[in-house]
Amino acid sequence: MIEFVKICSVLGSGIAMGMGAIGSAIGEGMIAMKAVQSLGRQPQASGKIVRIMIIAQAVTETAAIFALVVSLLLLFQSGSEAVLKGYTFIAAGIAIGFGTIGAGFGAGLPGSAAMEGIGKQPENSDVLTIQMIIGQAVTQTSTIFALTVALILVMYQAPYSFLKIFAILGAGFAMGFGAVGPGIGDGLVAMNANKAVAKDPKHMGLLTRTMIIGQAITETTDIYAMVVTLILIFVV
Amino acid sequence: MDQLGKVTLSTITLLGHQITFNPITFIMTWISMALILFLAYIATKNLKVIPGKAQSIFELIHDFLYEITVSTLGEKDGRKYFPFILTLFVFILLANWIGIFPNVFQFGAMLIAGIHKIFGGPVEFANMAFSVSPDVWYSGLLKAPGIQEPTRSVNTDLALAILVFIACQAYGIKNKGILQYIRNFADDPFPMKGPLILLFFINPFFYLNLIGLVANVVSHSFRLFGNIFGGFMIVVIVSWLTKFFLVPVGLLAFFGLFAGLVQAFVFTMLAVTYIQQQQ
Repeated sequence: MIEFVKICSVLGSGIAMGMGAIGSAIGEGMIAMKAVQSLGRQPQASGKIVRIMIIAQAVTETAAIFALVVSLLLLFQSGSEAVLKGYTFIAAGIAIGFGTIGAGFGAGLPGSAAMEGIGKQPENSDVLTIQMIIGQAVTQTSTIFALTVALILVMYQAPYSFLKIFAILGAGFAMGFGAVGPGIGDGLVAMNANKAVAKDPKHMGLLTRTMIIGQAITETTDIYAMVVTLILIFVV
Repeated sequence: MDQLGKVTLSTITLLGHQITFNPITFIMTWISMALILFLAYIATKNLKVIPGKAQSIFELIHDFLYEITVSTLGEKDGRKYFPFILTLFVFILLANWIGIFPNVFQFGAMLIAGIHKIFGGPVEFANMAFSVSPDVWYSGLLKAPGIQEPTRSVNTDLALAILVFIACQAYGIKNKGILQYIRNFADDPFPMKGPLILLFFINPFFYLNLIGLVANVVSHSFRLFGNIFGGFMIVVIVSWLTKFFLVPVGLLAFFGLFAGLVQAFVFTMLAVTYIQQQQ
């Protein structure tokens, strides 16, 4: 049985990192793409563009780092006598692996919009950077919920029952897939807010406020997913 | 590597309750606070119109954050909330950066152990580590706990997020008045006119707003925790895989200095935005 739990933890680790790399990679690529386009337009602002590109990519990478954390935690888990632990490890891998796709992709969208805006008007870069970082950070909320659930699942212990196995696996799927949509949706909101700020930096306060309200409502679906996940883990 | 993610815990009994805590987080929090005081003392020891190096760094941070806070919250409230925002930023920044210092006690003990081994002491060397018999005087130092970022413990991050949460809600109540505050909260998407507000408990969005409020605190704190903890794990594991040869320096520069700065800024900016939401 110790071997079974170890097998499951290794499988969960692979799912977490393999799936978790998808979103952030695409997002970072989009940022670099727009940065290269902007450089073609404004070669004299290259220092500014490259600096902000690195900041945007570092923030986008957060989702992949979360997947890596859970993946490494699972990889170095020692085996256990409790059979249910194996299923919680797989569920943790699914939750964080799928949960990072949306947020990684979504955080790339405001980053790419900000790079485009800086390419058009390099003098607005400070305002755009701040707006971009706020947008990206709020976009990552969905993957943070996935991380929380994955950490809960890694630590979770319960007596074995057939129902509990499927409740745990269902919790992993609920959080993992539930976080994909809100991540992309939040990213779309932040991207268009960033485009609007690039056109008219004077209205940044109003735009940020509206963006955050919109993102909060987009995230309600993620909160549904998390509520169901927690019910599946702790109540069923 | 089985010890990955494990922390040293102490337990005390207070009024019949068992309280478990990580003593190193406590010590490191106090050390980073002392460091802030020390740096601030150096920077403001003799203020000049044409600033020196230390003074200019502090002025740079101060002016940058002041501009953002005032332009977001407005002149009056921005000035009032600025000390809180600046304190948050400086504390989180130093708390993130303190992790790049190596474990001096262990390093010194390993040097001593190496010299001791040359002179034929009871020292074994295996798996990149020295092991000594427990009666040698420096055996305790070899097991000394390393320097941990206080922000690597989720407790510190949650405490900071709850602080921001309380500041936001207090500001909201003060700004809108208690009735309007509750009203905003109870009837968010569907406005309820007049006495209908008393039926707020049948509105499902009221409960969702409650959950959303708690979820904000969770996401605010776990964002910082996940980034710092993740950076630490990458540094530890990749250094271990490359036998601690040069690679940790570059990793610490990225995950310690750069990511630490970005995350401190993200946390502070979100705090400003959450306060702005209550206007």
